[in-house]
Amino acid sequence: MKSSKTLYVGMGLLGALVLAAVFAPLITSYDPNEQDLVNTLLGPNSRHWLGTDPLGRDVFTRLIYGARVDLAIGLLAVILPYIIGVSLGLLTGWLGGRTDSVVMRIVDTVIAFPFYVLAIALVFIFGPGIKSIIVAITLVGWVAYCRIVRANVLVAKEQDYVHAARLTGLPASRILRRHLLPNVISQSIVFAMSDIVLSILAIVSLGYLGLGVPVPTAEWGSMIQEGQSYIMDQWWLATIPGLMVVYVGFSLSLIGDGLVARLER
Amino acid sequence: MLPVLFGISVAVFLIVHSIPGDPADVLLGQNATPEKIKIINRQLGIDRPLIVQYLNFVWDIFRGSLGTSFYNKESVTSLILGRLPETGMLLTGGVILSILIALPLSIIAASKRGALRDQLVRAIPIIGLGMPQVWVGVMLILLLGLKYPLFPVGGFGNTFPERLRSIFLPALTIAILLAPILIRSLRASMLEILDSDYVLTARAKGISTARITRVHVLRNAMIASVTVLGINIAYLVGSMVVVERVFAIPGTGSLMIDAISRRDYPIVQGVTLYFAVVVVIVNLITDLILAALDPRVVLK
Amino acid sequence: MASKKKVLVALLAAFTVASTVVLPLSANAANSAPKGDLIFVRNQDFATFDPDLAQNDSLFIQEQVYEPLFSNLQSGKGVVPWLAKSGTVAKDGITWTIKLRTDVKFSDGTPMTSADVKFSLDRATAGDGWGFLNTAIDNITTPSADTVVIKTKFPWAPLLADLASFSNSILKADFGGKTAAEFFKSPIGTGPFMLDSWVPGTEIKLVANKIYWQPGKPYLNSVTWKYVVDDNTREFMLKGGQADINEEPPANSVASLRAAPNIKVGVFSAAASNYLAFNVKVPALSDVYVRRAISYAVDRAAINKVVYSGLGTVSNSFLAPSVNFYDKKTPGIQFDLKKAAAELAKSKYKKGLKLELLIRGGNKAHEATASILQASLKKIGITMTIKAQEPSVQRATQKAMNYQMTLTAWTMDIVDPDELLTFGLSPEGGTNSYYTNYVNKKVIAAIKKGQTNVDPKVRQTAYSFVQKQVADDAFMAFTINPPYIYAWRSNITGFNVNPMYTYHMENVKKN
Repeated sequence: MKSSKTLYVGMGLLGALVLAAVFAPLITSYDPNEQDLVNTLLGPNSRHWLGTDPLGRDVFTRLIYGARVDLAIGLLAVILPYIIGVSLGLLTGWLGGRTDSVVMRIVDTVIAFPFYVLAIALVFIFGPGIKSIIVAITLVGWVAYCRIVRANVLVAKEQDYVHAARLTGLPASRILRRHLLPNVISQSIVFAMSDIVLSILAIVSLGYLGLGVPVPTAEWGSMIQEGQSYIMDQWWLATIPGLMVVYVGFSLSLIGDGLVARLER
Repeated sequence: MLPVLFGISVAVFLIVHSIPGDPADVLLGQNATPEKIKIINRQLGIDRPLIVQYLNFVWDIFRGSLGTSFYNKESVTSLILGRLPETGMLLTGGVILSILIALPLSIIAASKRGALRDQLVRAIPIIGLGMPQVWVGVMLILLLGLKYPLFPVGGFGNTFPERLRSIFLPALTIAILLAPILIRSLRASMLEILDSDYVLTARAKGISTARITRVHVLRNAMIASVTVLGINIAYLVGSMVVVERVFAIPGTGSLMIDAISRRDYPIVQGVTLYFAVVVVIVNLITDLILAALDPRVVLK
Repeated sequence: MASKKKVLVALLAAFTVASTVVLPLSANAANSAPKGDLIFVRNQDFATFDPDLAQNDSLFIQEQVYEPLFSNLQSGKGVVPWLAKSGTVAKDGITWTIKLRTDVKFSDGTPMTSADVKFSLDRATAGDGWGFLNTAIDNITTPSADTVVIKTKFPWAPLLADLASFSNSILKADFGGKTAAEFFKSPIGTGPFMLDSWVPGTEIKLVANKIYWQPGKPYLNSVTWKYVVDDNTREFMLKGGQADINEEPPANSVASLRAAPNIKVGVFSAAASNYLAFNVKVPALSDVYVRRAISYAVDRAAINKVVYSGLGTVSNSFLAPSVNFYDKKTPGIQFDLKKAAAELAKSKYKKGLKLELLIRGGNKAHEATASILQASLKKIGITMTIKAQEPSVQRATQKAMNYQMTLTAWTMDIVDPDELLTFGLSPEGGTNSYYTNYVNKKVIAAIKKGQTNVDPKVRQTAYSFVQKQVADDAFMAFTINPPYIYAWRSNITGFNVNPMYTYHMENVKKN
């Protein structure tokens, strides 16, 4: 596959899901929380394309509405760490010296700190929910961007065009913004693509440990957790939300690969 | 290493102490009235000022002790050491299996860039990265534990061969998560090497492709894998929490999860420090191996 | 008050008859040596051999090592003498004489005497955990090696039931000369099994006590409890033959387990109740009509279907049906949205209101109950939000009474309802009526009457009144009486769980 094709296919797949999530009420006539306690645990049929869950809610509807929550968490949980990590990485890479060594010690500490201890503790402190998950991922996630950007800045700093810019007396902030940022940022965007998937997977894992998004919100991680107990008889309840995560991962990977190929050119 | 451990000891101490809920409440359950909680808190020494508790914690570390579990009164050090075989075997097994999966596939893919086999292998990381571990684990149990009962569905045996059999499925679950990441960087590094000047020179000299693969490509592949594993070790250690629970393997991950929900401060602190030490040591070993494999790397 | 004693003796006579059925005295010990190694899988981790600190995670296992003077009947409605031969109360109503069996030995070979009993009961009474069960005990004396005399501060009907609690198990006197900590690492009791090995967080293994006093028992050579958190994994282990008994399989798996070959399922009736608790200090919930409206809106049958696959029973009283003195005629509120709307119309909140329900995050029963309740309250104009907290945090919030509504539950530890009624309704329980702030002086007086009267008729009248009154006041909505569910391989026989949630492993065989 050509790189641009990869990129477009990926964007098309993700775009379709985003559209479905945004226009969910047009796609399905059910409410994601509408219960039908008579028709519970139905298999896929013409009225309920993916069957119903233990409370008789339409699984297809919950899946689409769940995309809203999961994509939003995935995105938010990347944007914040991205901003923090990129800024700190630029700063420490550029300044070097004591700032750099202090930030790098913090980075080392965060890397060595087990993510789940932090995530679980935060869920206990703030209660289960989107806020705790995003805070936990942000506290840990910025480190990767910081490292990537810093490494790039260290290399870029020694490039001729930056030296030249410095010699002409351009202020540091301008060199950073105009010359370094565009160059170092591309690699971190590629990483961000797989990071979104990792964030969604973290939500799934937290859901499995009983620390996910609280009921009755439709969300893939909680749907997988709720479906776990029905894995023997109604296997699709846990499997289909799992496949949605794979779908998102697939489209984001295509986008990431496409971007890499573009940048290499 | 010391600043990192200091930072972690402060962070974990503050975090566990800011979680609401009393250890005494866990010990006494429904019977925990406020006065009884006070009595138990005094016995556990958690009614003292935080700074005193922290200094005690650090002082204990210098004497080689991580304290005693609130829940079952066992020494934290011996609890962690008791879980070492499980965690160690699981981690090693997962790493070995992922290399066994990733290496041949990457060689096949890199042998002809853009061919169908390359496209197929490239699809693996794209799909594999998004698979939730819980789901992979349960599917493996259903298939290889119940349908075709080749492996135990859970638990950790008592003899070494039993244990090898027990950790196969969980290690495979880890490998399914890790192999895609490995394949990605292995394939890239192999292609890079195959395109490089010295391989072209070697080819021009008439050295067979097989030999080139063996000598140059494999060594560089090792460098790439070691780097990837080094970077992902912290993530791996963390993600074992889920695998351990699905397969009922009593490793350090489940020790920690239980301890947090029981407000067993000494265990949470001890295990966190232990994780940190493992991560730091693995990073050190990674650097050493890289230095041995790659003459360009100079140890500071 | 001669009648009191007569009643008691009559009761004890009944118990003795029962005991001869349970314990065949014909010493046919030579029949067989213990054989078979049984493996339990459960989602709770054993914590301690200290009976005072025992919770459900530890007490079932402790009960195989230590035994009490009296034991709960399988029906859950009475006790039989166990390490005791008999227990009688004098005419004064406060002097209890307990005769001990003389054939009981501890697992270290020493005989059990009244000194061990006095030591154990005194320790239990002083305990921080379960000492409250023994608050009526004034002092204990030991006139002879096989006689114990317990004086209570006032006439106290639940005494024998209290003595049957695991917390009043008989330990070796003075911990056999060791410290408490040492003793609980290598415990010595009179029970059918002894500690073999314990790997915290993993498993605990008990082996047969070869000199157990019940002839021919235990049948098993060893029992191992493995800690397996994941519900599916436990089920897979049972199906794959890696486990013999699965504790608490999810209710929705019962149908498929029943259909599976080689698997048997036991659904045991439990002295357990689930409740929706109201904090009556919250202005809206101090209005009895609002509480009654919400209680009418709880679709109990739906909850039973979704959470317990219909295996539980819909609740109508504060007491569970398998608890002594439960009154079937208690007018507990049942699901009826029309009546719910009618009750709400009588309240100050005719136009509807907003309330928050506190639940335990990750608890599937809580989550499903909350979702169902939220949907039906919406129909009568009550907007309910759901707030999830980690279990231990939820408990802390509940105890601090910083909630509006929450889900809570109770399992009886003794056969007498007094434990729950005191804990849940009387200021002596120290819990502000199970953390609801509910106070009804008539109810408190009736509970006192029930405690201090040994005549079952008087007690029944008092307890029926209590049940009716709290149902009318709707200080909690009584929701479901859940069952205890166990699944085991069909070659396991003799496994039974009583409503107090305890089992006797000495009766179990692996064929």
